[in-house]
Amino acid sequence: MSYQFHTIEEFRDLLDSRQASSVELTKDCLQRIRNTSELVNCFVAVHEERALAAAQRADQDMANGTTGPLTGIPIAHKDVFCVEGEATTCCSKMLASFVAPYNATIVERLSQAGAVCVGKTNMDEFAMGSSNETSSFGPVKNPWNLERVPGGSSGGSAAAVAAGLVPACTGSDTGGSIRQPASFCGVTGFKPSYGLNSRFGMVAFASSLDHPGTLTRTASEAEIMLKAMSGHDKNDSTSVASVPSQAEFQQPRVLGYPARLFSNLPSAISSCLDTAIRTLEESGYRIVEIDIPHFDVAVATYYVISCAEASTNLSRYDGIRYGHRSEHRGGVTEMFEHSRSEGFGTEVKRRILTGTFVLSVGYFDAYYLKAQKIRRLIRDDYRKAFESVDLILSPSTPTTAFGLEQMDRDPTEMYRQDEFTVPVSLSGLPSMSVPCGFAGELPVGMQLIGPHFGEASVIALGKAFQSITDWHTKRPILPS
Amino acid sequence: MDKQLLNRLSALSQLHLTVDEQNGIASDLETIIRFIDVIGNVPTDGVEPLSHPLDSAQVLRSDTPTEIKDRDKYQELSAVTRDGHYLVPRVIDP
Repeated sequence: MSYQFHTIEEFRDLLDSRQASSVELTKDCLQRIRNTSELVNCFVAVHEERALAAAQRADQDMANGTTGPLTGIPIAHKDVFCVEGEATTCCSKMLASFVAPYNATIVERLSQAGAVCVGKTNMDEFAMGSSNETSSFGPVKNPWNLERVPGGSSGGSAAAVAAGLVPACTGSDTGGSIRQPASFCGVTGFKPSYGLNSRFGMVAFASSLDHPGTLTRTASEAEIMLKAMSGHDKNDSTSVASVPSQAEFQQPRVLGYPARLFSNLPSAISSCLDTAIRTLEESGYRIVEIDIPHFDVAVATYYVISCAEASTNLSRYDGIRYGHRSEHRGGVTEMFEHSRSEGFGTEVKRRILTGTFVLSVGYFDAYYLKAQKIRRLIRDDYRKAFESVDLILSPSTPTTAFGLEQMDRDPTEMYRQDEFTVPVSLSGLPSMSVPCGFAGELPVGMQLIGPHFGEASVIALGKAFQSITDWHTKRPILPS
Repeated sequence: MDKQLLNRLSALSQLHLTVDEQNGIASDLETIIRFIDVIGNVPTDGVEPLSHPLDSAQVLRSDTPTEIKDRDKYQELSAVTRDGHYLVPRVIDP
């Protein structure tokens, strides 16, 4: 029997009713990954032996009556997270030979919860990209159309869930890297509030913006994953020690929609959004027009701040302290330069140079400091909006999945892909992309954005929307 | 983007760019800088910079020793080690 496209809850039922063992589910999952690896290219490592050993332990735990919601469930981790004893490459030549000496906190917590990690998923190099084309392992293909990108940077995770290979994957979202691929692949992508999930053991891109999160088929599964992953971590100094009671966020009724910002959407996308909003209205939610006045400068602000932080974070890769070491010999500086130039791909170099530019003498105030001030204005725009609404709705992306190599000419064309997700990232708010329709054969996503630590509210609306629509149940048909 | 500025940024970034790369990246950086220049039009007088989305201060750990002695484990990651030291290639700056 094939368990393709099963959800976490369906796997749970099979395991709890003893209709299948975790070893059987894991073997089935590993077989699916092998069958599709060349077609979709969403996995960069498969941990077969380790996964089967974990599955056996899970079966033993279940036999002993010690089970949790994730015991025995196969999942995969984005290759940005450290898994002890396994390669963690960030899909970069720079880290091709790096074997993690410890588990990332979220990897450890999911493992403690009994989840079985079957491997690592493909991603844009160092999580920099919106198409999963900058990976040193080659591009991921969108399961809905293999000529199109899955989005990025968590494209491998989104494609793996969309293709039904695993029910859930971890992902990371700096400017939209969970929500945009979730939208392109027709799955549910959840980025919780900044500080809720630990960044310890996640390779850093832009530390004030990096959010670990999940890609699943449903909001309900995202909730299960979040419960296992989240919580204070003393190893991450930005991990929040306590969050407000979730009880006050439970029942969203008033939803804000900043219609002005989306007036140029392609009609195929806007009609999906309009239908989704009407569906919510008919279900009793009140839709209120709101505005985010500084929305239009968010992408530029984001690229100043994220590139600045990237140039600092990635300075550690010099071939001595970390990363690929060039065979080129000369002075110390020359060796550093050659190691970095050989190890990093073009997009990473572009962002390091941009970050160096905005941080350098003569430009710091005009770019970096200015961007940090605008970041406050954007964050405050959302705070003001949440004085009158419970959640905010938005399209997840300005287009559906575009063609492979379609956006090679102008890097800023790719950056604009993030225009609906980066304002939320700059503000550190929880946000979920849920499937809300199709434009032709390609999925369309809608973002549900909450106030800080309003995860329960976002999840509640995601679950409610998925109880009255069936877009999340649609499945791509892959060539056999 | 003039060559002098690109050379300065490459040196600060510790990147060795080939001639081909220099031409492509100079053009890309010009495009990117034009793209981010839009932030200059936003009035921000009196606005405090925001470096953390929650305005939180850095959380400090208590000042107690927590070091775990696992040098051997970490040295396995290094290309060459000897007597507990990390060895690096012989390089002499001019």
